[in-house]
Amino acid sequence: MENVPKIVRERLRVVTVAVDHPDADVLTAFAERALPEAERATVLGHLARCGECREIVALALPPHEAASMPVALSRRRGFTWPALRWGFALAGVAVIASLAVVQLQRRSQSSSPMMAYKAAQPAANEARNQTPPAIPEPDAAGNKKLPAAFVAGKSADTEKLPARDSGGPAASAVNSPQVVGGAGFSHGVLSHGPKMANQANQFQQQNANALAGANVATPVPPPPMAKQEPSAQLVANGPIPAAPQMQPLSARVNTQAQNFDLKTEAISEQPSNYGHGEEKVGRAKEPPDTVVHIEPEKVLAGPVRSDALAYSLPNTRWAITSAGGLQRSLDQGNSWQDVNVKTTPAPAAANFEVMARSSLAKAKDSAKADKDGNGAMVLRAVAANGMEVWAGGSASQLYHSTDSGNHWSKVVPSAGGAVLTGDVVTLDFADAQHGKVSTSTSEVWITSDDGLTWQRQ
Amino acid sequence: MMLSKPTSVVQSVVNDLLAELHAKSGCEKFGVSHESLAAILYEVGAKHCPALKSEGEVRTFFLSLRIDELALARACAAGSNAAWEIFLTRFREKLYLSALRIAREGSAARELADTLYADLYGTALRDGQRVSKLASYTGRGSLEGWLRTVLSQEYVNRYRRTKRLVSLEEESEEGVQFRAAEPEPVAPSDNRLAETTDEVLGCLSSEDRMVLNAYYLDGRTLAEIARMLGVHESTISRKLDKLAKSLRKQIVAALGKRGMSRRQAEEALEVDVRDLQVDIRRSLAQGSPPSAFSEKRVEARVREGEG
Repeated sequence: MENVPKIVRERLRVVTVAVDHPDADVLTAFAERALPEAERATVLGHLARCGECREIVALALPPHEAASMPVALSRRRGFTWPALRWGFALAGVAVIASLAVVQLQRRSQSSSPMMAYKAAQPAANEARNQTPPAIPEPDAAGNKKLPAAFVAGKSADTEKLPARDSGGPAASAVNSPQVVGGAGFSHGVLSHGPKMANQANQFQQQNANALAGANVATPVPPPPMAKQEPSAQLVANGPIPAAPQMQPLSARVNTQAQNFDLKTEAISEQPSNYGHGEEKVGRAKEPPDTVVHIEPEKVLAGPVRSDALAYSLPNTRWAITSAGGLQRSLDQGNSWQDVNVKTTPAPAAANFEVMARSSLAKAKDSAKADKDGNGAMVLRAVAANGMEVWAGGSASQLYHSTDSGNHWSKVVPSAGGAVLTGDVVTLDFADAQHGKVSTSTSEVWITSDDGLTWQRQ
Repeated sequence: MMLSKPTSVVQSVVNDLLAELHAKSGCEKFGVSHESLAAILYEVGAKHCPALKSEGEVRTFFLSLRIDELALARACAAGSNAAWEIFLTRFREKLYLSALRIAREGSAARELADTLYADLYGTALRDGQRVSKLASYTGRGSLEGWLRTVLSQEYVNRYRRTKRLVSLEEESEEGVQFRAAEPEPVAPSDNRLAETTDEVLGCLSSEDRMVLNAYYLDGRTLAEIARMLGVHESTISRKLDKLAKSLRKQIVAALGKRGMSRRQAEEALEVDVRDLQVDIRRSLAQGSPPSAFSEKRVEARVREGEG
């Protein structure tokens, strides 16, 4: 604080004599700020010139204010503008820092599936290029493929599928007779996410991959975005090795993590107005088509058995969860996705189908499957060797994939009229052709031709 | 509404508010009747209301009075034992504490308080009647604040009465015998600086001048000045800083009008006032009332302010 010049201090002493001093009442009222403005100004003018009255007013100040006033002022001081100014600045910095942390976390979470998706994208594009356009031609197995436009149209109409399920056959007979009632088709699970136009693109891409069949060397990853990922099932006629025996017509896969139920029905039971009767009969005797259901990518659920890990491709890893579910990682274990494996008879008329259903329909099917008494599939062992993947579990269930898990077929080892019994407990495949399967009933089955023929030891 | 007779206005307002003020004061406990209270209010109005010109202002004045404490004080002055019992219960302890805070010494504080008690009770007689100091209380401020003010006045008056009486031993201890001979006053050769400063100080507002006097002459702290004026301490600090800059600037400008260059004016302000040909002693002897405290203390505070 700057001092006044010394001459000012000296001249301040030269004051006029104040003779008319205010009485004690007025001075008290002045100190207590109880005087009107005009009277206060008068008293203030006197105090400016009368040192005696200033002394009296100063001595008469209440003692308790010395303690109470600083406290009150210090409270006010904490909310004054300079303090608030720094408080606002700090709050702004904190908000920006928290937003940056959240963004970094989101990027780190989305980077791994995006990388996997980008890695698989060229393969998908290649498959799409190799896929014949919308010309329905019989494939190697003699099945007809749906036109691409038809597939796309069905994919785009997935939102209407629940209504079709609940509606009559007339409503669905035009576009998707295979979907009606779910007869003959594996029922997928619709995700709760939005069903957008790119959902149809994803379906179309998967359809193209399926049409490409085994020519697709690289496994097609699931769509990376969980919200946009429909729970769709692909039913395709892949180059499945001939199974020695027809598989059960109805099966159910129930993973504990997802409570996800699949239901397949026999080809002969499903209505089909697409195709010919001869094809139906012929397909009924053929090896079952493969059904692949790839769940939205998620973290590996539950503990993983140490003996149930398998590595096929450099970046692909397989695991069996404690709940008996099969999971696959395309990024060396950073993220995992459920893989539901089930054999499904191919439809008589359509060998390619995309189906997505609402969660309500899925729940109904799940309840129905439980009612039918089909036990839940619990996998116990998995073996991978390059693109070849084997998975086995309870109730003699053994599944085989030749394309790193994109398409699966159920295999029932049999020899001389005997079939594999018990639960598959271990799978040991030294190479793509030679493997050994052990069961809980102490049976050991050996194959030397990639599962085409089996021998019981 | 402009009224030609404020007294009649006071009477009308008192008559109008008497019932309300009587109920509010609790006079019946001390035996104060309506008529006695009306007489008290007339007296208070006659003392303080001449400056009030409108009936509204007079009404506001009476409603702002500490009517209960006014009634208590006047009842004590009238010799009501019930009022004195209440008064001693409420203010005895506070009065001694205030005296101790003012005198800063136990025996002096007790003597001060006892003296005031005697004045409050009314030991002095005027026209054969006991005169109580409480009869001068008009209720404009709190009774407790009024008691502190009266204590302060008594303390200052007592100091002023006794400060000129210095014993010979005390004077010799202070070294009066070694004091240098005072120089003969020399007529100032250039009074422009003092005159200019007086002019600039004369233009200050009452509050600014009071702040300057309280800080530089009385040696009050910023907190004490702030409490006297009812503002924050930082307000006084900013005001003093602003006043110092403004005074310097105005004095330099005024000196320029009186023929001084800016450099000369700046140098004149920096010169020690003891070197100036200004007869401070004569000015103080003529104009300034005697200080309530010793000049040594004031000078020491001024030095602290300079430091």
